[in-house]
Amino acid sequence: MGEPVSCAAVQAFYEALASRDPVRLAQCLADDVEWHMSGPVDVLVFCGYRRGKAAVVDYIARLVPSMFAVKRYEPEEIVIDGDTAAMISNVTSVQKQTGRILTYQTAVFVVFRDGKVVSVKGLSDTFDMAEQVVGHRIDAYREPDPAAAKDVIAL
Amino acid sequence: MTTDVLSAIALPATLRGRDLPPFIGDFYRAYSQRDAGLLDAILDDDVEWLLNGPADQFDMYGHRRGKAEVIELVTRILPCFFRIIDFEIEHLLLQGERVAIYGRLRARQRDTGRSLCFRAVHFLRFRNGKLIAFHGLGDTFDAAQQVVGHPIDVHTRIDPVALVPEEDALLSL
Repeated sequence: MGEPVSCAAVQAFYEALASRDPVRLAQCLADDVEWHMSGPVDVLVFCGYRRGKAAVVDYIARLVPSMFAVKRYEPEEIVIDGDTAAMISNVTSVQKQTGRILTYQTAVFVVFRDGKVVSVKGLSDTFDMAEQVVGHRIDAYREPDPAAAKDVIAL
Repeated sequence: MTTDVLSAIALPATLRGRDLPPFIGDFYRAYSQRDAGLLDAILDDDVEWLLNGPADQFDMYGHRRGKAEVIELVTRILPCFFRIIDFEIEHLLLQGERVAIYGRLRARQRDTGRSLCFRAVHFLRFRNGKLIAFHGLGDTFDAAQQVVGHPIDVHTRIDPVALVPEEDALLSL
């Protein structure tokens, strides 16, 4: 475990995250920052892995806002220990394509080095998020129709 | 108390040997062993338990309140889906009586024998050594696919079911 992170550095990062301001974000991130949000990337395109300051700033300040207008980003719980901070937040967004309001909780574990963010790992209730993004309840138990998979060739 | 108490749980090198309060190990031992007696000892009477996920399709998700409901969940409902093998912790944060954990939970499905592996975060709150709040989050889409054993097509819908027939005379009153 590295040097303990200050509450001020943690707060500055979360405020930059909520603001989606690329300049403020860039000031908080290490050059080699890694960002991993678990989830089905084919449904939730904001999930997946990004590496490097430019990729992460582009992701937060351009990609996510191009699809969702974040209206509320409210921390519910923050735990700080050593060089790492963990937070659960309540997020309210508007899906730009449909105007639908999405509400969900997301948890991030953020590792700092010399006051800069070097790693972010995020988890959300992705089943619920997928239902909100597609706009209907999803039947988890129904097996995919093989006939619908037109790209599968029976040999 | 050292991290030896968490021996059932895989710990990263940075945590080995670190002094941790006993309630963390007590809880995870009770949780992973599904031991009602150990759970009874570590849970507060009014414990709040929330595991975010599609609770209408998988009973293990949702909100529980009180010791009896949580013990029933851990000892009876969760084992219907899988049996926990280990919990590999990548991050364990402790601030007073609040704990945040990020890790990988490995389990075996009871009916099929399939190995399952989920990323999960747990936010725990203790008071006087008892668990008063548990909040779990995970990649539930991935977890659901592993539990049902096939890819989930997001275009499949659960159609709403009318609880009362439309021609029910009561509706016209």
